[in-house]
Amino acid sequence: MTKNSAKKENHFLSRYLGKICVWVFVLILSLLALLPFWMMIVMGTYISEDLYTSAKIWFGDYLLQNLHTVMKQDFFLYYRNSIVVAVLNTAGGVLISGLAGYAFAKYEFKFKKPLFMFVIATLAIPPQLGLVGYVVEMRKLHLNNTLFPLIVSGMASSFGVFWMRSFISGGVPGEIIESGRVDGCGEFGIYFRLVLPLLRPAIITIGLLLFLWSWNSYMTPLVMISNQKLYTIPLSISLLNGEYRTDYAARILALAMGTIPVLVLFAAGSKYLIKGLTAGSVKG
Amino acid sequence: MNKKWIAAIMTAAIATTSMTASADLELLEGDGSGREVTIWCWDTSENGIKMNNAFTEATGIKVNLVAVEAKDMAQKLQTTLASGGEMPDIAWCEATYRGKLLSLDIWEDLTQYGISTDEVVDYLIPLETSPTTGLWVGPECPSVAGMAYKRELAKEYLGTDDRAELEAMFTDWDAFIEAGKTVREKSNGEVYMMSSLGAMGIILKGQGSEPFIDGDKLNLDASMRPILEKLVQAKQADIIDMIDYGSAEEGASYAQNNDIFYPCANWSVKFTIKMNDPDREAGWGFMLPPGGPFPMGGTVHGVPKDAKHKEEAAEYIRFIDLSQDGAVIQRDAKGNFTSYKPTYDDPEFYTMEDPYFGGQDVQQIIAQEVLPNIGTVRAPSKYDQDIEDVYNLALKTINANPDVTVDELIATMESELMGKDPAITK
Amino acid sequence: MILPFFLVYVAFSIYPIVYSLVISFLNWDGISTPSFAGLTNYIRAFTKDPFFYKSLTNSMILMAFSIPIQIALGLLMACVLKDFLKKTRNGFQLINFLPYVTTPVAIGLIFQQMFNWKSGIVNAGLGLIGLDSVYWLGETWPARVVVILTIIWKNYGYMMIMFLSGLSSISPKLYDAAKIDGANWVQSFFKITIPLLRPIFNFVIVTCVINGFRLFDEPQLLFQSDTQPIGGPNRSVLTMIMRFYEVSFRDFQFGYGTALAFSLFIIMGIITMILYAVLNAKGDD
Repeated sequence: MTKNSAKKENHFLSRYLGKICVWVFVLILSLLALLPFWMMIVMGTYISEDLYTSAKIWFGDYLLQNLHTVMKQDFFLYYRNSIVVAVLNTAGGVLISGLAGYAFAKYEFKFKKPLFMFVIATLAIPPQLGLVGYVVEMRKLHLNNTLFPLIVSGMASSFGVFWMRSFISGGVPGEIIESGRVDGCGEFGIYFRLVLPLLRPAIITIGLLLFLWSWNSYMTPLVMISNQKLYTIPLSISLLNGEYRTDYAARILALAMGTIPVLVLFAAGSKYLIKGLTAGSVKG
Repeated sequence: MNKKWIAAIMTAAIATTSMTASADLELLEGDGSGREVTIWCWDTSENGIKMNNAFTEATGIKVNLVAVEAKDMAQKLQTTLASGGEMPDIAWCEATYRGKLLSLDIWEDLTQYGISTDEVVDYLIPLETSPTTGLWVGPECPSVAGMAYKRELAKEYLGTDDRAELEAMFTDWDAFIEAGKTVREKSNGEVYMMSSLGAMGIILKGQGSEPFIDGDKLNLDASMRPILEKLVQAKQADIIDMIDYGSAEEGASYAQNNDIFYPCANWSVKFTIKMNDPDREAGWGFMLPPGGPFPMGGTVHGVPKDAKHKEEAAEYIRFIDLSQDGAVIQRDAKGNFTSYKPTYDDPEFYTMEDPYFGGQDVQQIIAQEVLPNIGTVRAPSKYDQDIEDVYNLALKTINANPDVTVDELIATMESELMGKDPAITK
Repeated sequence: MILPFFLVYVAFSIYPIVYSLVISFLNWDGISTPSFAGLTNYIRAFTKDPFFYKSLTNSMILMAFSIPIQIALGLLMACVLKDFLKKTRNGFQLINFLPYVTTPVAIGLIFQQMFNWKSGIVNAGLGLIGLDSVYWLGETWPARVVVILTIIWKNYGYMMIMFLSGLSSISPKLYDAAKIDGANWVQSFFKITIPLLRPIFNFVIVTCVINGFRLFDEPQLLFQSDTQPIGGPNRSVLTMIMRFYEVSFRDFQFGYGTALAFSLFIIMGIITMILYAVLNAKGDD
């Protein structure tokens, strides 16, 4: 009897302890994850010169002035540029990588395997590898100093194709395609009407990631765009300067505002993110 | 739900694209007719715009400012050239980066437009001349400096806040360092002489003229060694605070009471000191540092060969940088000095009794005592930025390990430089 | 079907790379007429450039510390969220993923401030518990630690998502069976979770290594200031891509810069292949 109850108690204790450990772990890590965000919001509310006098953990009173500084520099224009680039890049990327992933997953054609291997191999290429060539290419096409280079940059995402293919081969039964053919749908019709609806989680996942990468992209716009009217948000913070002064607080505020859209998108899509990744990753 | 989302996104996409399209049209319209000049610079503040508006009023030439950070300028010009993009009509070349920029063969010869160096302040001319092509690229606002100090701290720990007495006290850097030791003792280790090694270093560097790299040959023993010796000496005496030069943290130190002396150029008064320390009424003083006045920074205004509006650019430079009217505008809008030599004949041109400096007329002192006494300067080199890099690395090393020897520092610098560019030899 | 992708892919991904490959055999500063350099750029990279090996070592060091930790944290977080916090899972999942979506430019500014010598919150915290301040951004190892922490902070949430997706494909029946056999959580974690996550592990490790070699934004933006050369104190966080960037876009040696990039690519390819072989071989036993 006693032995048994001791065991029970022990069991209970370990469960209890375990729970505490789990919560401590999760809470600490989550706090650490949030701390820099907190700092970001706090830093935007001080006059730049005050930021570095001592460690700041609570709000200052300079938010409105910083906001004024940011808004004075046509912030909405840069916001809009960022949105145009990211939305079109994402839309295009999802469309073409979906199609390609579908083809790789469900069709047989010549050189399919080597082609796919090639696409996968380019996953490992540092994106900066072709930058010099890209800049020169865009000159030849007379497309430098438009938003076009930013829109198509990274649009043909090997990652997207890889992921879509994994998702489609696991998540789209061949019978659906067959039944489509029987019903006389065209191949594109099958894809858009029958397959696409099944791909929602994958599309949202890839879409979110492409949007994120495009939105945060810094180096390509930096070397591509010299017309100020085409600046994106990460570039636009360089406007928050005087000849002898850098306005760090206003920069942080601008960046914090620039983070909002991705936050909202990820909050909305977070449920699908896992689902979308689930089907893809395992067979990688 | 899903369809709604997609529809919303599509609508947004279409709406935004059409908006861009219309914006592009506006841009095209702006391009064609009308006289205008496009400047790549990092000052898009109200003061800068005010200055340019004055130019537009006087000449009818529109000024477009494109924000490019000083450190990105070279990269931006280079990629624009490589990609055949539209070059600016005027580009700013900051002191650290101008050696490389000026050495590129991309600049227009301004003498074609009737701009000559005859009326440029003498000491500036070598600083504005390309080390490779020998071309004088363009003028800049002189940026010369002395030293500012917090009066209260000087009085408390050095016994006086009088400029003449302090200058007499600091006959050379050794005296400065010795005085620093007493300051440390008296303040129980609270107060330092200067905020950063870089702050002391920029004075020392400005006071020397020996090239760091002579052509392609390293010359660090003659040029860099004396600077590093003083810096290590100062660090070992513990008279320098642990801050990175030019960092925001250093800016913050102006308002605090830990560091006494700062390098101070004409523009520092308004943009560094008052900006960072608005409340120290009558709390600052200005003096010449041990070793005398020195040039500090500076930004050349160059016109690229491939610029579209070279005439307008030349007109801008003639007006803003090389005329009496321009000198007035520069002074009033930005507190900048002019490179136009005749302006300095009038001792009352730069004058501002400054209650903030306890009634000292800092601008006049700089214009009349500092600027004429700038001797030979260190000519720009295409390796300037590489040198700046290894120098900054050395400062970090000294901060991290005050016991490092100058020999070690020099050896590291040399191997770094030779590793970076095989053309550099010992 | 595949055509639109390959059109865009070849035009805007492959062509620039091939073009860059051509440039890597030239001496070219982007302005003057290029001249043919043969293999000299590559020879310089492998034999004459001390920074090439230094940056390689740095990349390896940063990876050696950041990868295991970010994987471990991501995995633990994923398992814990899945098994213990079913109700609050979505919220925590989002919170821990937030760092991944933040703009690197902002991360640079924020971490720079947090690790400042005088006014940074980290040194303030160390002071509170009676420890000496650390010159984080000025010394070799502290600088590396800052970069490593930044990478971990940014990426563990992404790892967590990957593992969560992997976990959801493991049949709950296995865990139930283990429970009946008397296994506790820790035992089933090691006996079931880890072995069954092997494919995910392989994927995640390879991705991490590839991303590790591509590392640029964080160290670059963290140590970006007027008085800080590229690569931080003693160039202790100079990664290979940073070196490529420095040569190409600061020194304007497009030829040598692209050659560096391709040399990096060669090394990366070899290491990734070895890694892949090792991981797969392990899978066989």
